[in-house]
Order: sequence, then structure tokens, then C-alpha cells
Amino acid sequence: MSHPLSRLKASEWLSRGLLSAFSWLVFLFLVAPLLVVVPISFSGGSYLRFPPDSYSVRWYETYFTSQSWIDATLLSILVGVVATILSVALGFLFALGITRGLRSWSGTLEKVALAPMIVPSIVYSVSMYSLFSDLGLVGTWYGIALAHTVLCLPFVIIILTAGLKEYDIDQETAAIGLGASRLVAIRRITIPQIRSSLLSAAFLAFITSFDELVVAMFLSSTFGTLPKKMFDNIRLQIDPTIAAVSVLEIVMIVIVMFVLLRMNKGKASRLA
Amino acid sequence: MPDLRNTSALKLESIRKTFGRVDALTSINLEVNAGEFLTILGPSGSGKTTLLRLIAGFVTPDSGRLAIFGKDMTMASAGKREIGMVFQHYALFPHLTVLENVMFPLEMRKHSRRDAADKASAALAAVRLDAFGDRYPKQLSGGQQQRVALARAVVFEPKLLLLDEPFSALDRRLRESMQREVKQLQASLNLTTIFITHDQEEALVMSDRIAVIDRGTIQQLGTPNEIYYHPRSITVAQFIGESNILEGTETPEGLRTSSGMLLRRASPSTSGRVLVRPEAIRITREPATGGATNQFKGKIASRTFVGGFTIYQVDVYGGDTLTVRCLADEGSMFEASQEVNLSIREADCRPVPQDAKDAGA
Amino acid sequence: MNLRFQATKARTSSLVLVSPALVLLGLLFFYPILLLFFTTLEGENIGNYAQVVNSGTSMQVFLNTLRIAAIVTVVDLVLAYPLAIYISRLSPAGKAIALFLVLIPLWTSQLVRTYAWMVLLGRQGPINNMLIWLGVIDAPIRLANSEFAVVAGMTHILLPYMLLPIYNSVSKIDNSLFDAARGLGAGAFSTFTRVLVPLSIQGVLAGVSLVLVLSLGVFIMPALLGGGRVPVIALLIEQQAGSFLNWAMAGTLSAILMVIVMITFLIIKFATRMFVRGRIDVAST
Repeated sequence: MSHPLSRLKASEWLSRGLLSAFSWLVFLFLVAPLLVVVPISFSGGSYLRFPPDSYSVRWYETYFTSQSWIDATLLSILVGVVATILSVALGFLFALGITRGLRSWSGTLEKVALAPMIVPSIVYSVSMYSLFSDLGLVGTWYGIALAHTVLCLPFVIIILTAGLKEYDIDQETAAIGLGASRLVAIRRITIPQIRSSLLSAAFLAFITSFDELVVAMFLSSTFGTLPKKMFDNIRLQIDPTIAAVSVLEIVMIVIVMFVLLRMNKGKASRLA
Repeated sequence: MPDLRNTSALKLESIRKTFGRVDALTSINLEVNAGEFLTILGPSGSGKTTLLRLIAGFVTPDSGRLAIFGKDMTMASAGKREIGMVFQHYALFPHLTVLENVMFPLEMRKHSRRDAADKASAALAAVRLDAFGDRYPKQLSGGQQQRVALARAVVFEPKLLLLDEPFSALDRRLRESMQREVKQLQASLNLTTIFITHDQEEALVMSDRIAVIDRGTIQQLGTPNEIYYHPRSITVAQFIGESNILEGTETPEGLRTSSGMLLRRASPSTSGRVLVRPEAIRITREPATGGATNQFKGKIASRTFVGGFTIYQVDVYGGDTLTVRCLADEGSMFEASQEVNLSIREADCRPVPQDAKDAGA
Repeated sequence: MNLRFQATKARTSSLVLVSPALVLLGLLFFYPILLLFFTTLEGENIGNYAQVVNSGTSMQVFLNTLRIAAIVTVVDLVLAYPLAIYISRLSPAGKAIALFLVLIPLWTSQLVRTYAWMVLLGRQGPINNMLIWLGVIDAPIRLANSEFAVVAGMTHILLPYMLLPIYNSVSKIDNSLFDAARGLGAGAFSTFTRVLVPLSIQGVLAGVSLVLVLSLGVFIMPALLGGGRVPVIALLIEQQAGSFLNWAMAGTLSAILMVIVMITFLIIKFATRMFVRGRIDVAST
């Protein structure tokens, strides 16, 4: 980084030291709050005390044996899976379209598809409630899944467009020249090569839906997704079950992310 | 030599293609004989890549007809044309092994896996890569990847083989051995081959015939000898090899250049232009003897030593500057400003037609 | 080299490819949002706008929202810029670890992160404990249920959105430029202001735009960490709709919030264009 001939001066050492010290404090700020949840989840008592007086796994038991927690989790998984499948399918076709024949339009089209990112979720929720109450879709799980598909699409499109732009389209051309149909070429040659982008997109779509609170809150009636259950739990009865749920979610994220980062080999920023 | 039959391997008739308002190809006529090695040679932007993609079936023409072994294929999709193609950057599938890459076209043609594997192994053996079937393309060198691409292109016994500047990514020495190898494989399979390149040397080395393409039309079609010694236009003359082109007015004795040099020729012409290849000029200390030569005196302007050859720029007294190429000889090199004699045989002063017009097939 | 399809054929097939997503967005995104706008302008609903503008509390809430968004954006910028530079100078392995540390909080549920902040700032949470242990305070103080808690939580949650665009633009800068600047006689400060800042301004503006826009609409943190003491628009909208069932007013407030967000977004877009005009497009290469 520095010029081979330039000797590091004391002031330079100092500024580098300050920069790294500051940076590690920011890392601490980013990660420490998440770690605080871990001891709480193993707390023996039901009161929010750090560090806990005693330890147990009773809050994990509470979660796994409570019908309402499990129902909420299963519902969120169902909604998340459907939203993921829909958004990845539509997003993949869309990304194919704007990276191929519509070059001059692709900028505009991409902006249109990314619009849901800048609309506050509360605004979108109010809009969707009005629409869905007219259509009788409020209180249906697939209504939430459809709304979540819209929210997932921008992430999917960003990741897949980037992936497809890196992909050498001569590969697909070559496959067609060797006798494959366009569909076979896409399935056997294109998709395997952008597999890591597809998995990243699917993962991001899933957690976008799985974590989404506001739209789900407005569009569900009696039942609730996991975030809604967590929100109510924090608001009304705040006990360490929520910490146990949090730890389970963090563990899930860390595992999946580790796998994805290994697959992307350093292209971590693509997942952002 | 090309094996002439009734039906040609590939026939293009009045092919036209525009992209938006840009004419990529204007009225291409070309006939390739079965078993022939034909090179399409042109600078970048000449339309040669469009022509290749049109033959391969990735682009369809706006008008005109394309037939492969007598069968109309103008609108047929790429997969239906039975053409093997080697891409510029090989386009090997990175997620498949070498063997799977070569098996791919066979699988697309519904061969059984076993049959496909046998044929693919045989094709790999033909390019001496049978030991590398389990590797991935990334684990191979550039030349090896090239051979895999070649094996993949010929494994399904295509009717035509298309090569899109396949040697451009290789270093010089590897390029020469690959050229030999491709030529041998082509000859042993008697496979009609169309080779695209911008490298004139490569074209001269490899081809039975060369089609020089520029500005969307074929400027000249002929054997390497014809193209080199009898270019039909300035464009072709300048593109193939190095050349001295002298312009002037025709007189009964020969061509008199505007600078005053007189060039006598073996046969009369009215073109007003003469092409002299740099290696056709003899450079000597003393005036050369012998009939039927044009003699000039001049002074060495510069000297470039390029290994086997030495290239001189010589200012002819009362005339143009000529480029002269002669075999390098350490003992008798000329120095800058040295006075020399140039002699050019009359037969080596070749007329070049005025207009660069479509030469066609 | 790009495959050049026959132009019209390619355009048609691409249109077929993009249309399912566009239809979905049209029906379930643009239509409901436009519907919301038009409904707020219909008949008696239009009076709601006057009501919002004339109501001191509503205006107060809007100003409060903007103020909090501005604070969070500034703090995030101050935290993210040095961190981005630091990460860009790490070895590839170091970069991977650093990005891992940034992405984990980004991908963790907002509710989990908000809950973590409630624990952290609780009366018997680690921060209070440490302050007592250090002797700074004698008894636990109220940290949660305050604007401080909301700002801290939002800063934490939105930091990756500031960091990643800045990191992207900083990491694209050729390191030899700094050496060149030094070699040409620039000191550390002028290298920073004349080389680093101009070359990363696009990333900075992208980060600022993202954080500002997202923080204007944040709901979870004010709801859970504010303890009812930190009024923001998102809460007001939820209250109108959820508690008072006044959907017309919720719609009007949503429309106003949407307009504010769009104006903010466009201002930064415009600023980006001003800054980047005539300069090599660093971020998009």
C-alpha cells in the first residue's frame, strides 16, 4: 500500500492505529448487541437481567412446545417459501430480459423494479390493505406472500442482474450451436453457472419475507407470522422466549451465510 | 486441393444484414467446396464476425439465401445446422469436466451416455487429451483448452467447422503448433472448415482459399498466392503483407510516378498503380546487372533489424521512399545514410486495379 | 463479445421475459400506491391534508421524524466512512471476515436486533451495569424508552446500508493513486480531500440516500425502543389505522410521507449528478 521507499513516520503509525482502533469499536458496535441475546436466552429466571442469575434451557423448551410459536414459525416459513419461489422465478426472467435484448431500456426497467425498496413499508402496508380489503384478501396467508413477493423482487433482481452481467453469454450461444435448445442451454449451462447468485437471491428473498413485520401485521387478521408474534411478545409480555427465538434465528443466518460466502468466494459484497 | 463436387459445402447468395442503420453485410456471395479450408480474413469491424455468426445461425440475414450441402438453411436455428464451432475464448463450460464438455453435443443429439462417453474419449484422444477427461477447463493451459474446444466442435461429426479467431489468445510459439495441429485434424477428417481471422499471416499459412472481407463485402476470393501476388484492390494489397504502392501516370515505357520514378513492367496495364512487395526489391552496394529490371539509386533512411530479416527504408533519389526487406546477413548490413542501389524485376511490378470493388465469388 | 440476436426477435422475447415481474409490480405495487394517492384527493378526504398541516402535533411529528433521520444518517456516515477505508485496506481474508461481521447484523431480523438493544439498554442491562461498576452512576438510569435508544438502535440497524455502498466505491480506487498523490507532494490531508473524497463521493451519496430514505419510514424501533415517547410518522400512521381505524387519515399521512421520501431521494439524486458531472464514473465501472 505505501511506497516501498517511504519510511512510515510516527504520525502515520498513529493515524493507522487510530483508524484500526476506531474500526474495531464500530465492529463491536455492530456485533455486540447480537451477542448480548445469547446469555439471556439461557437465563433461568423470567426477568430481563444481564447477566442472568441462573442458567437453563427452559426458554428453548417454551418455544418448541408452544403451539402458537410453532404455528407462527410454520406460517412464516410457508409465506417465505412461496414469496421466495415467486420472486426468484419472476426476478430471474426479468434479469434475463434486461441483460439480453432490452439493453437500451434496461436502466429504466431496473429502476422501475427497484422502486419498492424506497417506499416505506408502512406506506406500502396501508396501500395494500386498501386494495386487499376490496379484494377480500386480507387475512389470507397467500395475500401476505404476494405482497412479500413484491418486497423481495428488488433484492432478487439486483443480485441476479449482477450475476448475469458477469456471465459470458457466449457459453449459452456455444451450447445452442452444439445442438441445445435455448431452454436446455439455460437449464444446463446458464443456471449452473449463476447458481451462487441464485442461491444468494433466494436466501435474501427468504429472510426479507421471514423478517417482515409491518406488511404482515396489516394484512393478517387473527393469525400472525413469526415477526408479528415476536413483536406482540416484546410489546406485551417480554420474556426470554424471544431471546431463544433470536438466538435460533442468528444461528440460522450465520450458518447459511457461511455457506453462501464460501460459495461466492470473496464476492461477499454481492450479498449486500 | 479442394475436392470439387456438384454441391458445395456452403453457399451464400446475396446475403444482406443490417443492424439498425448500420450495414454489417452488403450482398455476400460465397461458395465453399467440400473439404476445403477457407479463411475469412478482415480487419475488426469488417463484418467478418457477423458473417461467421450468420453462417453459424446465431444471426439470420435480412435477405439472401444460405445453403449447406445443397440444403436451404437460411432460417434454420443454430442447432439444426450441424456446424461445429470453436469460439474465440473457447466458451468451454466451466462447471463441466473436459469429458462432459465434449459429451455435451452428443447428449443434445440423444446419444446414450455410454456411446457419448466413448465417442468423446476418442475425440479427446485425437487431440492428445485423453488423460485429462476428469479435469475442469480451468485446470488446463490455454493450448489444452483450445484442443478441448476443437474436440467438442468435431465430436458430433459436423458438416462444417467454424473457427472464430481461435489462436488470438495464444502466444506465438503455441499458436504455430496449434495451427499445424488444426490443419492436420482438418485434413484427416476431410472436414470443410471456415476460419475467421484478422491475422493475414495466419490466413496465408492455413488456407486453401482466402476471402478478404472489408466494409461488409468480400473484396477478393482466391488462393493465398493469388491474394498475395495479384491483389484486386488497394485494400487487399495493403491488408495482405507489406507493400510499396506507387501511383503515377501511364506512359508507353511504364508507370511514371509523380516523383519522377519510371517503373517498367512485364505486361502493360492502365491502372496507374503499381504494387511492389518489399522482398522483391534487391538492395546492393554496386549497381546490379541483368536484364528486365528497374534500377534506382537511393540512400538508406532507416534500418530495422527483426531477426531473420532486415527492413530498410530507402529514399530513392528523385523519388519515393521504398520499404525493402531482405534476409539478414550480419556481414553485409547497410548503415543509415549509406548510398545503395535498388533493383526491381519488371515482373515484380504488379498492377493494382483502381477501384476497390466487390470481387464476389 | 456479445451475442447479437436478430434485434426485433430479441426485443420481443425479452419483453416476454420481463413482463411477468412488471405485471406483478403494476398490480400489487404501483396500482395500490397510486390508488392510495387518488383516494386521499377524493371528496372530503382532501380536507385531511389541511387538518394535518394545521395540526401542530402532526407537524411536530413530521419534523421529529426528519430530525431523527438526519441524526442517524450523520452518525452512520461518521462511523461508516473510516470503517470502509479500513476494510478496503485489509487482506482478502481480512475483508471476508470484516464483511461477514457487517452482513450478520444486516441479515438478522430487525426484531431480534431491536430486542437486543432493549436488553443492552435495560435497567439491569450490561451498559447500566458497567456504568455502575465504573462508578459513573449510583443507580440504574433509564436508557431504553427514549429518543437516545431509538437513535442508537436505528444507527445500528442502518449502518450496513451506509457502509456497503461506501466500501464499494472506496475499494474500487486504485491504491497506487494514493502513492502517486504522495509522490507528487500531497500531504495526508490533501490526499484525503483531493483524492479519496472525490473518488468515493458517489458511494457516500448512495449510502446517505439509502439510510435517509429508510430511516424516514422506520417503524419497529420507535415502536419498541421509544416507549411511546418518540413520535414518528410511521407510528402515527399505524395508530390512525390500527387504533382509530381512521384509514382515510392513515392514507393522507402515508401520501405525505411518500412525498417527503421521494423529494429526499430526488434531492440526493440531483446532488449526485452535480458532483459526478464531468468526472469519470467511478462507481459504475
